[in-house]
Amino acid sequence: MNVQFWQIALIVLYGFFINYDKNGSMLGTSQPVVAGFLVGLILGDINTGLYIGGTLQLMTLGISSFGGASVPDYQTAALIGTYIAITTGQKAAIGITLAIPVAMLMVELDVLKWTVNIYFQNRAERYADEEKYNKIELMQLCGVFTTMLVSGLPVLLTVIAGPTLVKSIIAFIPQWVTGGLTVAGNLLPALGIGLLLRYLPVKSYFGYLVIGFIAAVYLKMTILGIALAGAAVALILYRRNNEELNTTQTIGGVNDDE
Amino acid sequence: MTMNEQVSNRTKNRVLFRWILNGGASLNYEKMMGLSYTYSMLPFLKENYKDDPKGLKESVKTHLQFFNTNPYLAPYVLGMNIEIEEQEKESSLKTIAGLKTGLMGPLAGLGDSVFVVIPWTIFGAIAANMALSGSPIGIFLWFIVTWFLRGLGIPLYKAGMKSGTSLLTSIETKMKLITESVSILGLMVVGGLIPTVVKPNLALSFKQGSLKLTGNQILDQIMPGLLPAALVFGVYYLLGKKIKPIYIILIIIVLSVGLYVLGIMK
Repeated sequence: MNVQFWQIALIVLYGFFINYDKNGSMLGTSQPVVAGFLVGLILGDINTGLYIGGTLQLMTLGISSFGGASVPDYQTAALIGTYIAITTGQKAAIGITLAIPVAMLMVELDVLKWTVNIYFQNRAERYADEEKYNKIELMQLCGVFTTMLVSGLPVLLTVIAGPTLVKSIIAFIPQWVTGGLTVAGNLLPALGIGLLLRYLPVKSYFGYLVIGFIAAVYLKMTILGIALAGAAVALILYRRNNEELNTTQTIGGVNDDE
Repeated sequence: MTMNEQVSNRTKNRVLFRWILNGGASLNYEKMMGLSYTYSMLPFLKENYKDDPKGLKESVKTHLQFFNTNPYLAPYVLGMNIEIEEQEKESSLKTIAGLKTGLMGPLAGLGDSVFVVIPWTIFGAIAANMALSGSPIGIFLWFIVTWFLRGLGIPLYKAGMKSGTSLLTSIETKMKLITESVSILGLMVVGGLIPTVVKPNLALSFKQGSLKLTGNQILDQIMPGLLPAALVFGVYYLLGKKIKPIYIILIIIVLSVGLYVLGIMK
């Protein structure tokens, strides 16, 4: 398709914004499904964007970064994959195939950012000694800028290198790669779920996991339905535990509640 | 000491505003959010130590130290810090440093599960599933939830200012209860997610006379969702063996390509 200048400009701006939003403003635009949707919206092909973004979102469900661990950056990858798939007129599967290695490579840039920002932190500490407080604010903004570069640069490069280069790369991708990655796309959500389970108290509350599983498999409930049922259970347990807590705390005191 | 001197509300709001815009945006390996925290506090500090350059320097250097917590809950720490530092000036810096270190761990644990992992999983799964059937409505739903959680920063900031340190212990027990309840909700949703989002698709099929069964059908007869459950269990096990997620991604990709080439999956 013919890409207009305003479309390119918006994509690049979004490219710089997406990693900032992930760490700074957190308005929710830095999710694969949102990235796919917004790029599709800008380029006038929402369905392809939703499909690529939705697939990548499922692959990364539950994968989020805490305490400085770098994880593959699927949101920027979804942006780039959607842009390429739509502008080169390729199938959505190609966009997903290209997005996965991009997400992996982005880890390196993220590590680089964390490292470079140590310099700004140290400079800020020196400025504190010299009582130059405005310079500390400048150092913060430098750190914000490197954060924006992490996603902005790859997007900018994609747009500059343009569909022509990518087209010739796509021509080299053999069938077994796209086919294999389609299979991987179906299996990878298991990783996110496994990671999530490591966060949750599986051992003490294994039964609830089974209930959710049965609700989906045998009762064919949707996720929203299961979430509502889960919220009800959580509410009941919260109230009960809260009452228990209150009674243990007021033991020996007057309890005129009931 | 000028005990009655108040820092204007406008300045205090600027602190929160700065945090919400830039809180985690200058992360570094050495001090994590130390720089962001200082940047957010500076408008307040400059006003609070107007006639006390030595105190200002001391305070800025304290705040530049290591700080890392969940960005959604950090406003609580900021609020508390401001309240105490406004009353006690530089004599409170040691207390504040202790408070920050003591609070950031529990707050991160609570915030990461209740504000990030669980809502992202639930609404991410809903948004993704709706997106795959061509509807962006799930995305808008997710936006609303995200903005609501983000907006909680304002009452948290106010609560921090009000409580000083007094409310802390009672909040901590409440937080434990909330985390536990939300974890149960999370577990049920995750149980439902396993067969919904992990979708191994067997390419094999079996024929006997006129009876033809695909591999998927045979597995479903044994137990629906058997393969997804086994796969998740495998990943869970590997993660327990301290294998890094990125290696597991690579293992799954290599395995998938192999299964595809062998014609077992499609």
